[in-house]
This record gives sequence, C-alpha cells and structure tokens, in this order.
Amino acid sequence: MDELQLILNTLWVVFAASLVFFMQAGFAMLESGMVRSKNAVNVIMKNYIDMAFCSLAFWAVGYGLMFGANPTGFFGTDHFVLHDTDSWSYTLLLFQIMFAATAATIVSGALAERIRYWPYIICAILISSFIYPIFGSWAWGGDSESHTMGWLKALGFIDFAGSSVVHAIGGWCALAGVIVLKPRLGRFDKARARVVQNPSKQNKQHSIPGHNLPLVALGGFILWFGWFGFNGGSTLEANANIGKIILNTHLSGAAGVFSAMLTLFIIRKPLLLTSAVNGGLGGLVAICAGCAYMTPPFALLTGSIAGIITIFGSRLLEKLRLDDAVGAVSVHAFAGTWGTLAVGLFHSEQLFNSERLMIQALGAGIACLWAFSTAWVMFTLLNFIVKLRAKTSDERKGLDYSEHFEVAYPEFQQDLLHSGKR
Amino acid sequence: MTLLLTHKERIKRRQIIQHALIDELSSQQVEQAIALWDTLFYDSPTFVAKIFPFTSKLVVELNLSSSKKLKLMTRLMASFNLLKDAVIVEPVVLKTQRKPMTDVYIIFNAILSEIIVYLKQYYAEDIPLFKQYLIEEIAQLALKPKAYQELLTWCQRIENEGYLIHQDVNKDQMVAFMDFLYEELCSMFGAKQTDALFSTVVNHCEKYPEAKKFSPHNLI
Repeated sequence: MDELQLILNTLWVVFAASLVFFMQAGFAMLESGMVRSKNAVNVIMKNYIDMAFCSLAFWAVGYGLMFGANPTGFFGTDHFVLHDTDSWSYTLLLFQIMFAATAATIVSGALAERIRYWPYIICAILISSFIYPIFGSWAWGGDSESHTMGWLKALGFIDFAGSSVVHAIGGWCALAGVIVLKPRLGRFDKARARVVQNPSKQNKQHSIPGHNLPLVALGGFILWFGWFGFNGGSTLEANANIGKIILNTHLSGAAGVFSAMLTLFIIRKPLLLTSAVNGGLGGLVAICAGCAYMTPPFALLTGSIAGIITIFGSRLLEKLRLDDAVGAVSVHAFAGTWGTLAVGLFHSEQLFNSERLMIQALGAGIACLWAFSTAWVMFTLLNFIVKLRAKTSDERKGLDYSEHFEVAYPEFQQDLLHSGKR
Repeated sequence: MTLLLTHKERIKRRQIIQHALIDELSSQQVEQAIALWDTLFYDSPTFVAKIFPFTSKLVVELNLSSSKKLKLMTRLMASFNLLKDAVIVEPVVLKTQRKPMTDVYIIFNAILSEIIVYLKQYYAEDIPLFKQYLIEEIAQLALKPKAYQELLTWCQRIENEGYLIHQDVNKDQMVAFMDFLYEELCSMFGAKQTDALFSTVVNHCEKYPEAKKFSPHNLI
C-alpha cells in the first residue's frame, strides 16, 4: 500500500468511524423519545455508558476474540489490549470499537423503562466483549493469507457491514432480554380473572407512547446519516465503490420508509411516525450485508421488504405479548436476518444462487442461535443473581429518579424534585 | 314516619357490636356495652350515625381513655360498614378527639381517596373487579388482623367513598399496597392513564400540609 493510499484510507475510515460514533447520539435520541419522560435520562445514560464501557471492554477483550489470530476458526487468540501495533491496525481498532458499541446499544432500547442500570451495564459489557466478538470472529475473523479464517467466512458467508454480525446479534440479544425481563407494567392486560369475567378484554394491550416524537425523528435522521459511515466505512479503504455503497444504503432506507407507510395504509392503520422511522431503520439494517454486492434496484427491493418486516415483526411480538419498547427486535433482528438472506438472492454476480442462499441462511440461523441462547443464559443468570428488573415502586416513579436521582424535565416534574430524600 | 327495625336486624346489629368490641374490652365490659346500646339505640334506624354518641356514652360509663375511645370507634365503624344496608357516612370524630395521625397515614388516605374519585369518574364499570383484586391482594400483605380488617373494610366501601380509618399499617406495607394498586391499574387502564393518575394524585397530595414533612412521592 503506497503512502498516499494509506493516508486516504485512514482518513476515510476515521471519518466513517466518527459517523458511526455519531449514531450513538441517534440511538440516544430515538430511544429516549420513544419512552416516557420519567425514563428519558435513564435511556440516554445507558447509551452513553454503552459507548464508554463497551469501547473499553471491546478494546481489552473483544477485539482480540474477534480479529486476533484465529487458528480454530472459532475465536481469536491475540490482539487483546492492543497497544503496540502499526498505525493502520489502530485505525481498524477504532472503527471496530464503534461497531461493537452499536451492537450493545441495540439492546438498551428494547429493555427500556424496566431494567436496572448496573445490571444492564454488565449485560452490555458481556455482549460487546463476548457474544458479539465471538460471532464476529466466525463471520469476519482471520484472513485468507494466513489461512486462519472464521469458519463461516471460510464457507463463503457474506455480511459486508453487519446485518447479522452487528444488528441481528444485537436484536436477538434484545429478544432474549425482552423475554427474561417481561413486559413493562401496563403494557399488556393480566391474563387472569378479568378474562373470565369479560372475554372481550382478553389479551388486551395498551400502547405506551413515547414522550417526544420530534426526538424520535431527529434520532432517525442522525442514524440514517451515521449509516453512510457504517456501511461506507466497511470498505476499510477509500475506493470508488463507496458511492454505490452509500447510494444503496440510502435507497434501501428510503424504500423501508415507503414500504412501511404503504403497508400501514393497506392494512388501514394510522401512518405513525415511529413506524416510518423504524421502517427506514429496517431498510438500513437490511442493506448492511449486501450494500457492496447489489445493484441499486435490488437494494431498493431489499429495503422495501425490510420495511414490511418491521411492521409485521412488531405486530407479531405484540401478539406474543413481548414488550420491545422501541421496536429493536423487528428492526435489527428480523430485518437484519432478512438482509443477510437477501445477499444470497440479489448478489450481482449471480442472482438467486441457491448455494449462496443456503450459506447465508446458515449464517443467519447461527447468529440467531448463538446470540439468543447465550444472551438468554446471561440475562437469566443475572436476573437470578442481581435482579434485572426494577422494583414496581421504581418503575412507578420512573428510572430517572430511582436510578439516577435526576429528572429530564425538572420544570414539569416538580413533584419528584420536592420529594427530598429518596 | 319512624322506620322500625325487624328483630333480625336488631340481633344482627348487636352481634356486630359484640364482635367489634370483643378485642378491645373485657367480656363484662362488652355486656355493659350491649346493654347500653339496647337502652339508648335499640330502635334507631340511623345506625352508623349513632356510633359517636354511643361510643361517648360508653367511654363515660366504662371510664375509658380517649385513645381507647378512638380505637372503639374505629372498630365499630369498620364493622358497621360490612353491613350491606349500612348507611356510609364519615366518622363523626371531633378533631381534638382524634389520635394524632402520622403524615404517612394522612397522605396514604389522600392517595387512596383520589384514586377512588378518579375510578368513579372514568372507570366506574371496572370498580367491582378492582375491588375483588384488592381484597385478594390484601390477604397477601401479612398485616396484623386488625389492620387487615380495616383495609378490607375500606375495599368493601370502594363503591361508595372511603377513608381508611386505621393507623396500624406501616409504611412498607403501604408502599407494597401502592405497588399493587399501580400494577392493577396499569393492567386495567394501561400505563399512560395510570401514570397520569398517579402524577395527579402526587400533585394533589403535595397540597396537604403534611406533605411538607413527608413527601407523597415516598409512597407513590
């Protein structure tokens, strides 16, 4: 690599890493806007701590597991606490740290409004230092020169920017957390005597609207903007392909919004802002895997289907009485899985290649199996040891007050401020 | 026109008085109390309204302390309200004769009253079910028998109006009860409505002088 190319690559990847870092602000805005005002600080604090703690954990352990020498194909064995290497490796480390923090922060939104703060931090650290990098090592780890590739990568599994590695892993972890943690109070009707007395109220659900939809929209815009770095930076070099990758990313996101809106219109549901934002995010998630390998029309098709998936995915979760506070599971797990499969269908080298599709399906299935099972064990054990779920009284008061002793909007939450001691 | 009670109704009232006072007085004193009731109020149709004069006479007759008087009145009120045909009225207790109530207790009463007013206003049809849940829950609270009886009485009165006439419920039990109320209300009306209700209730309770010493937010 000549000097100029190295400088250009470094500049581009560092800039892309900065965009991915900015996505954390997008997650923070989106998630805090989608929860009640009494939990806004807590959600943002989780995003903030994700960035800090997960970065440290990934640098210390995760990067080595994911990108260290991978003789078995199952995990890396060196590069832990990386501190003595060449300048390009530092650049890669910076970029990958941002990815790891993104994977962990997906979980925070799904579990919002009822998970205790410190147990959540433990979960986030375990996800970014173990669950995410192990699967990452299978799909992205090693290199062909040293013949020490991750086993999925060796099979030909393609996930360019992390539909599975980042998003589906985060999404499946979120699903495990949602199951272990149970719904927020008041999300679903209790299935007991009332059902006997009044069958019409069976399985009744109550939506819990977010407190600030403009923040949700702003979060959506920031994420969309950051995604250009997320996918564009995954080239890991400044090359001419970046334009197409970012165009595909943008088209897929736009198609996700369009198809989500169209779906709502067809099924005669209100055209909700939250659904539009999640539809767009679904499109952006889905195109991660194939943005470098698809032509724009297929990127558009991938995003369109992802938008529909986010709508029906959310409805499926509601039917199953699973309370995902921000729709993270349908956006990241379901759309991410679809995006991984879409590479097998729409790869520009050969459309609808069944062999490639099988490998992609295997990878997506393994991602689900690995992330869900390990996260479920993690959440269950932590729930048993330290209790993940906030007390009812804390959930009533809001986690801002009970976990952090500060509130997001003091002018409107005077009663909390006047309460004196906790 | 005077409304005369049937023999059955009279017997029932005497039994209630007997049961209400048996924990507070000796058996001889209970007999004296029944005799006093028969003498003064045997045919009184305004049953509950007679509690205060009856208790006052009883205290003089048996030479009881003022704190004992409050306890007797509380017991009688609670027991009388179990009667389906009882007229529900506020206890006629002069302010000076009340045992000083704790701030926690006053705020707790205010919270519950506000919740009931809200329920009656917006969700009247759900009140019977809510009452049933409350009664189930109260059994789980591990209260002292006396407090249990009082809380149960309050629940029975939900469809009318009610104040909890008892101080023998500690703060932890009140908080546990609040948690239960929140969960049930959330389940019935959703988190949005319940949050709004509890927020209103906190704001309302902040107006009580006692709230300066004890914040309602320690309960809510």
